[in-house]
Amino acid sequence: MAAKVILLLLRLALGGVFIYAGSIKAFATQDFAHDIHRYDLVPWTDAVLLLAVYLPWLEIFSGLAVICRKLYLGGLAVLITLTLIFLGALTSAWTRGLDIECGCFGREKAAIRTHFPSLLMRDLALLAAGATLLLAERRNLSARLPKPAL
Amino acid sequence: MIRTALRQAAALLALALLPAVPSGISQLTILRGADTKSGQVEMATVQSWGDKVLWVDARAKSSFDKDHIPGAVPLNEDEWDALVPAFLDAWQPENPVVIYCDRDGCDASEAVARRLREELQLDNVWVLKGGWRAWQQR
Repeated sequence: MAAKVILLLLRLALGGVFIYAGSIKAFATQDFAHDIHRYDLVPWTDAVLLLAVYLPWLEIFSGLAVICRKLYLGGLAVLITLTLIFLGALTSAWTRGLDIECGCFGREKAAIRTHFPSLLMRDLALLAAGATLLLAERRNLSARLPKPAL
Repeated sequence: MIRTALRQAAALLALALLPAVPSGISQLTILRGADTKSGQVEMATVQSWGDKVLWVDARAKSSFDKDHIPGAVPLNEDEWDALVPAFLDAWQPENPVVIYCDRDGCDASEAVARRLREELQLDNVWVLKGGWRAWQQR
């Protein structure tokens, strides 16, 4: 019972974070495009602009999939992949000494300076939540498989 | 399980396209107006940024005193050291800086933009296409 409650909370937290992040960015596309460009990983082309338009909606739909348990495995797979990409981008920016805004939750206030260790910890926590849910689902599916006749 | 996850992920990737496409078409028109390679930006694009913009008037101080875009701060190469403190007071990292001089092809705004990028390491710096005239004809 306790395990079910923990898994439910993890689902709500993981899905909720991505729905929130996606919703802010979906309606601030220009800011998000500039945030992506500041990572200096991709040149300013239409690809950056398309990414800035598309990524927030992918976060929203995948977050909803995880919370509603529709297309659940796909939602988890997308969120885990996105988190890995964000971790890579943040690590890359940190190692190159870039002083940029995270862009994770849209444009943040001027007073907030990028503190890479805490951002990486946040993403690692999201990754751990996703991995836990994925493993729990795998165990759940295995338990439902018919046992081979002896 | 992996196959199911991949199939569902593909479905989500496709689903996200539905709202992204109409939103993208309208946004691309605006965003394309900002050309990062040249650092120039169209008047319509700046207007779409709302009131977050910090306008910088790169014309001579006498022209600025005569008339300027509301809220603009003066900054030009001739009086750089005297004017740059006021610019820095007005500057906020999250807001784009848009510089203008008299018209298309005047070098003053390009020179100020270059110094802001190189000396002050600012990256969200734009030159208004058409300059002061574009503002008057908006």
